[in-house]
Amino acid sequence: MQFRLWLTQALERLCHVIAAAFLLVALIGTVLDVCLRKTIDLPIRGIIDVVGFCIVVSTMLGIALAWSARAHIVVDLIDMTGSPRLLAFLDVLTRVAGIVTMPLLMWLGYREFSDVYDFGDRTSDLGIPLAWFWLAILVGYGLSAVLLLIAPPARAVRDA
Amino acid sequence: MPEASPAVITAVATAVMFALILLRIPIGLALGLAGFFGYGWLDGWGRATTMLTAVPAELISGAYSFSVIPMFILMGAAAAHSGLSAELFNIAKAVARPGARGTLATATIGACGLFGAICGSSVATAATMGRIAVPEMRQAGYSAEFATGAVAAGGTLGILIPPSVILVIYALLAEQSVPVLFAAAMLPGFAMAMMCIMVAKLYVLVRPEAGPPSRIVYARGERWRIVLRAWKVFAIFLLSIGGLYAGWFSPTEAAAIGAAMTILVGVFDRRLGTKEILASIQETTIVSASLFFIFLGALMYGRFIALTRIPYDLTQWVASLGLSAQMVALAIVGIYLLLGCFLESVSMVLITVPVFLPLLQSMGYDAVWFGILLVVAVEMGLVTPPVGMNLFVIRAQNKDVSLPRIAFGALPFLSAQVVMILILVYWPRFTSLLPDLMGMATAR
Repeated sequence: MQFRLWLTQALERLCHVIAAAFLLVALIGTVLDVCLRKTIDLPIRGIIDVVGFCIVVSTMLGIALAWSARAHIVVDLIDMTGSPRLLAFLDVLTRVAGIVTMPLLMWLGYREFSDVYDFGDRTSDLGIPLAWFWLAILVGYGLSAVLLLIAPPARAVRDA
Repeated sequence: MPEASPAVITAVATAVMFALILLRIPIGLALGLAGFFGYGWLDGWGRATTMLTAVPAELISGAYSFSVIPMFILMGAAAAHSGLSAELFNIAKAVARPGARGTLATATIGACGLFGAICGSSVATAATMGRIAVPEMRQAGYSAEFATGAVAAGGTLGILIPPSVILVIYALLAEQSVPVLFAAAMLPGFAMAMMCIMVAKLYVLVRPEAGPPSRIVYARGERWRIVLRAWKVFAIFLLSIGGLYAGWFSPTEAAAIGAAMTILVGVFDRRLGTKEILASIQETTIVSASLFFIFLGALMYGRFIALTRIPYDLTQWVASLGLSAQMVALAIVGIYLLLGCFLESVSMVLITVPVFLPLLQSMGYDAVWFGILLVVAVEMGLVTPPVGMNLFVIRAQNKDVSLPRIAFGALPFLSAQVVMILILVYWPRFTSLLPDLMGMATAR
């Protein structure tokens, strides 16, 4: 249990740091591009590709983090009337649904990743390989499944 | 799977989706699963799998356009963490007439409107203002219902007054221009703020004990000094949103400039340290990711709905009924009120726009008008139980006030939203006044 908790926290911290770094790069890059363009007419070439890539990485890691933080948007009407046992069961149901779906999406995404990797598809401005985007998506799905598997159960489950 | 008509498959898939949502399955996953099974049932599992595989490709191809969402969320999160809300509340109090009944409530609504100009989220606006305004109002002897209801209603201004995250999501979904939608929302947003203030005034006329006169006394010239402190908020709004209209920035750039300015103002005011900036970024990552997750699920569900041709059939069926456009628009608002009882705002938009937008466009309404109507309808959902998100946020901050009491307090303010709905339905040009004045085209 101790190791699971340590691993979960370590993974969450890593995801937070990387996602925040990519979001900051997107923010600073966009602001810098505007400033350079407006002051010395020197836009940053390919900033659209960079910002796009950063947002995909940040979003996919954020999706994994939202699973472990139980921050995905849910309708919790049932919490008002449901017994602790029912809520615990629903928490397990959500985790199972995520644990089944995320690897499945990862597997489907892998096929797309292989295709763009084989064809060597790239972004139009900077030529960033599209496979990198798909890799970020695969990592996001994979981390979601791992975090769902190892994260400690919700309080409702522990209480029940 | 047994053969069935598209209507039956749609009904079953939608029922499954709602059942999953009510079972606390994340909305994005419920939408994606319902869309996948519906698509598979209708067109074969091979094609459904291909569609599901291709959904993230939309995120990749539109990543730059989508980046406007986290940037605006970061702007709001930084504003919330930097304590700008307290200053805005002081400014609104200085503007409101001291000594009159209900002044603190009207100041709260005004401050919510100002905060909405730098924060695109209702829940964030309600949470941030609630933390400051409710304790002060209650300390001044306001009834708990009135104090919490004013914040719940004022909070809804956050998604109508630009920048609005939900309008950005709608713009991406309906392929509309973000600047045009923001311009269209400005007049209704201002009018809504004014109507909410009027409701607060009427509230204290009917129940004077609910909002006693404020005992704040200002020294000569002090009110103006406080009001002038609002320059920072206006500077952020003018540079980011003004720059958007001046043609200096794209929506993503405007949002990034707004977020950067908000962080810089917070840092220079010594209200934002490294800890607060990191907290704002972490909050942004998770909130925007959970929105994108719903967006991805809704894309799958939207493709299934497009395959069923339900929007087309619905348009034909409604046309055959011979109803007036206004009747149809009001019926759709009714459906939103019903949905608002158990769905949160983004999901409501993502599920319904692919169905209702073609119908309303076929009746002569334009997509920009529908975006504004949608936001006002969604606003009502935010303050109506049982899933009024603003009510929950305020309840979490005020444990001694029950949810029904907060909802009861917010009830009178619903009249402002009802009036706005009627204005929009019977005078659709209200939304195009400002875009027309600014020389923007509102496409049908």
